[in-house]
Amino acid sequence: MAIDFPSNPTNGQVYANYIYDSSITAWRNVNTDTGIGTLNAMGLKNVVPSSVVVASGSATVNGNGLVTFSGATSIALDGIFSSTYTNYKIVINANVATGENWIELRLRSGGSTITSANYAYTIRRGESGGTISTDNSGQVNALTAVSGPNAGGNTHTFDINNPFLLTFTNWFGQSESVLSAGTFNMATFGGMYKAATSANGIIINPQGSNLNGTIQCFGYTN
Amino acid sequence: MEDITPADSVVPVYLVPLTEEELAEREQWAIEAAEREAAEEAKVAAKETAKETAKAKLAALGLTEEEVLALLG
Repeated sequence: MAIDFPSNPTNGQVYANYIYDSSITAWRNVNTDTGIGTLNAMGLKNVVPSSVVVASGSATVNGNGLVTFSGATSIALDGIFSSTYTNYKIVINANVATGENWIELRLRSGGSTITSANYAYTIRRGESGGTISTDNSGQVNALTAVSGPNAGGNTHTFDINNPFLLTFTNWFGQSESVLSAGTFNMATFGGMYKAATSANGIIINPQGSNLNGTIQCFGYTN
Repeated sequence: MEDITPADSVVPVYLVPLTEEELAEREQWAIEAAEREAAEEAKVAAKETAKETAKAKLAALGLTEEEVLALLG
């Protein structure tokens, strides 16, 4: 599938990982073309997955790598981690039609989900009623299990470092959830995949109702 | 896997059908999620009820509404 560039672009217009250069009347790849110093110096860049796998439901991916899904029981993004970047940011916005949900995240490699019990995480959670709690996972088979979305929706934003390198993978982030009872919680979570494994993707597993929302991955310029 | 790539997607999208076991697991998760949600709603309702009861008891002791609010926030 070819990238569908906007018609009649203006100089400096950005689309996916390309910027339009009117002096040569061409789109230039900000990751591979030379002489785009200012843009290459910028921190975050869109990452477009090589493929997306959903269990039930549907998904679509636009030229900026934004994955929009609905009715999914899991959403896997493959080909987002590579040698191009070492560290990444992942942003998830999600909601379900009814009920409450929890989300598990796992790494992927070669199109398969990594389920070895090498994940360990800590979540510090504060609820709007004033309750503060901490979960320590020990070594389990999921990257994190964060309080999930309901009709009110929720958001997870986290950095994940070294997923593609043959070393331990670390992550740290925050989430916010609105519960249908009128309360909400905010959580800070972090952890580690404690094995020298190279991953090139990630999967979201909501535990409960099917999930609607978006997920996007960005790479930090090395 | 079934290719379900929509016309507007720039990369392939594949669909993996769930097994019977996975479907059953998800039904159980949905039940547990509903129970968690109900428990959360009950917790919030109980807290509100206790707050109203406390206000009434404090008022019965002679505190003004302003004083009660200052105490309970």
